[in-house]
Amino acid sequence: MWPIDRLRRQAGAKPAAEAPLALVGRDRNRRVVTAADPAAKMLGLRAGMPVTKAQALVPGLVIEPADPQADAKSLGRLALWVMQRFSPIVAVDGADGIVIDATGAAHLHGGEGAMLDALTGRLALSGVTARAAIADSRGAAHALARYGGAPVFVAPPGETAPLLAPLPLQALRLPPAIVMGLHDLGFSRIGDLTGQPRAPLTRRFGPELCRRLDQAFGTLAEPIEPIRPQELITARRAFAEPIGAAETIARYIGKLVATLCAALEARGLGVRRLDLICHRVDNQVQTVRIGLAMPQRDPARLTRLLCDRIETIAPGFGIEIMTLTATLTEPLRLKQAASSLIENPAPDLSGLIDTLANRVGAKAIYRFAPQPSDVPERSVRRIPPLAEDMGANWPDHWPRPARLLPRPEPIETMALLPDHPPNWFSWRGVRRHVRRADGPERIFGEWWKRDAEQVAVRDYFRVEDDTGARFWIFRAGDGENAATGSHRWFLHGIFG
Amino acid sequence: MTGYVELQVTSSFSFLRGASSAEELFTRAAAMGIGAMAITDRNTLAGIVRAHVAAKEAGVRLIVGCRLDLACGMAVLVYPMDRAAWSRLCRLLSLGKARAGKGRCHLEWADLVAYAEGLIAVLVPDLPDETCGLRLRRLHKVFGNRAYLALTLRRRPNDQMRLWQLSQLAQRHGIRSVATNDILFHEPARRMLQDVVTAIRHSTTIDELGLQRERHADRYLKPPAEMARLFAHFPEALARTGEIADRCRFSLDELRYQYPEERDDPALSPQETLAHLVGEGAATRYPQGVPPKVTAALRHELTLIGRLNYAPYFLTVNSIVRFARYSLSGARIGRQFRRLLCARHHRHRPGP
Repeated sequence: MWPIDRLRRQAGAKPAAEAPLALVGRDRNRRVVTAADPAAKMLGLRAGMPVTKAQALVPGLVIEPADPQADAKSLGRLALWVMQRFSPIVAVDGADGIVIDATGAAHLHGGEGAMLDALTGRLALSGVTARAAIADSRGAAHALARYGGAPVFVAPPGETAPLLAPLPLQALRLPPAIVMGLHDLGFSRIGDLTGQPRAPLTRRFGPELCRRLDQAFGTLAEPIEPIRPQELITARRAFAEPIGAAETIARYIGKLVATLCAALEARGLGVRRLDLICHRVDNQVQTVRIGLAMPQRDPARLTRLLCDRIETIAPGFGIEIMTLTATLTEPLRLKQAASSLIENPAPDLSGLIDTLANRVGAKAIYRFAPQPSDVPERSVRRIPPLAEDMGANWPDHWPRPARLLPRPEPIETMALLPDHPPNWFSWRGVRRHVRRADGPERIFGEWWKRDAEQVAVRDYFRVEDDTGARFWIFRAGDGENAATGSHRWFLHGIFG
Repeated sequence: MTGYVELQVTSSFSFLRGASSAEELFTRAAAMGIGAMAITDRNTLAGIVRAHVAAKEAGVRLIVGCRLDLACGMAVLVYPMDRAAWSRLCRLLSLGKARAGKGRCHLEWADLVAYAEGLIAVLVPDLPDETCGLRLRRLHKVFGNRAYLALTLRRRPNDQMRLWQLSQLAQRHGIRSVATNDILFHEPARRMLQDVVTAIRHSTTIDELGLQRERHADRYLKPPAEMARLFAHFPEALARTGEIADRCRFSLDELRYQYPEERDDPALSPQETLAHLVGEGAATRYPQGVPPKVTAALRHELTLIGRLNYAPYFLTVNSIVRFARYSLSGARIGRQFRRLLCARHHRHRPGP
């Protein structure tokens, strides 16, 4: 799908979205279809089909020349974007894939599943259809993303083998000749191969087959060669003796951060994403990524954020190279600090927010902001902790409860119709006598949102019980017209 | 005493505010047994003629009124008590509209004071605060016993408290309060249309409208019994709606078309002026003396004109022709002018 998506994205609206579209390239002397969009696939087109046949099958077919160079270039740019936004170790995988090492980076997005959702969601917004999977090994993730059932899938750790077993042999990244040969022998699924003796297979098909099998099951390491754009600001340190102790790592992190911050300062930049990559002696790579709410280049703060995550680095037999990269930078000018004699500077919360975000994920930290809506459940929304106020505000002279229940809880009452407050109500098994009440405040459904809200009405009352506790209760419906609600009573909030 | 009277009703002539036409409002009012209803559009009397016709058809008495939104943020409902007050109100609105340009109206409190005679004024308050007290004091000073304060249920928090505080505030300033309903549409189902026109007025979409929507609920017509139930604590405010209705006896039926006058000499009536001008014209035309046949024809014509009371019209034609002769030289243009004039008046009669 990548060539089609790229073409549609870059060409704008030129090939109409509903017309079937196919890309055509050359296979030796024949012109063949190299890719087809979903509409064309529905009509029976497949990659590898001769163009003449495709045109005979689909009369109104739109044909565009395939451009593998442009596809690869765009894919490289996409990989760079993924690296800046999601994970430090990213590489282009084949002609239509991107492989990501999510270790040490998923925490910023609130877990692996959330990270994949965010990634595919962002891609879908920009018109790229993506399938994604996270698994224990690169080979397994490759197979599950391309041949698995769900478009977004996170394999539980240690359960790769049963998941891979039902997938076809193509999922193993084998040359077509080997797949054909295995088919001739009666093997069609990965599960068929796992129990077989290795020696005859190797003799017949060469070492490639067993290597791919081991890579898929994670018994053979397969490092990712990450893309490293030249223009990124990087500090690198190679050690004569491999290091392993946490204190040593912390000391060198401090030195790397100092170097990096000097480079950042020279260019007037601050860092939003910072990657620490540790190359181990056994050729494994350990990464730590930290994200910042605002551009920063304060060495102490960056060092502390990195050192908070030293525990996630497994040094193994020792680390021989450490690289610190400012993956995403933003301009940061020097500012005159406010003089304490004249004014109190606004407290800077970004340090606290960064520390928390790198521990529990940026999504778990938010601020509530008013949303212009009369319906209480919709009058609040979450915004990033350092976002500006949205300009909306609640009318301040209307009392609202300090605590709003997540969903209204049904209560039993006795009340006169149509617009009297109840005499008593019982909530969570406690019966309360209503001493004072104010209301009704009539709130209408937002009819433009759902059909069910077209005539819906709630009558809210503030009531006070014998002990002086105040509650916000409402009756669904206006007390006269049965269409406006069930006329049942609910408790929605508690005044402080 | 008359029963409950709706005193604050916005028809669709308050452009992009009201959601129901005068016909719908009066038909509904008649069905509910409301004896009289006022139409108070914002800064306009444009809807009054429609409302007059609709009220006659529905058998409900129309009380002529208008809501004035002053530049200082004060909103006053005014009702002319007699014809003279009606003309003053018209002149006041013309002044405001001429000042602000198309579609708007700019009026200051001082303007209202200048044209206040014969008008009943009802202050539309927001909160019972100092601003409201200040406005009440000013209103009392200018309108005396013709000043009232509107009590309106909003179906918002502290409603009853607000009404009570407002009525206390009014009492302190010697102003009587009156119950109104602030009608925007004739039946509850029109609320959606109201939201849509509000969105158009703010040139935004329904989703983005947010808190710019009409914040106060239940703006539809309610039967008198329901109003009596809602204003159970303020029976005197309800009764005063009838009192205002009794005081505002002005009706559009009192208006007749008034032809502008073109008399040079105010001592003479139009008919005498015309006879005088005809005599002069005949003398110029027949310098040797007017033939008896012509004299008889002129006398006959003048009698006819006198009977039909057409003299002012001929005076208008005369003054236009005179103006044409004076400012545009050349008979051709003069003839063109006269033809246009005759076509405009739909009558083909030679001028003097």
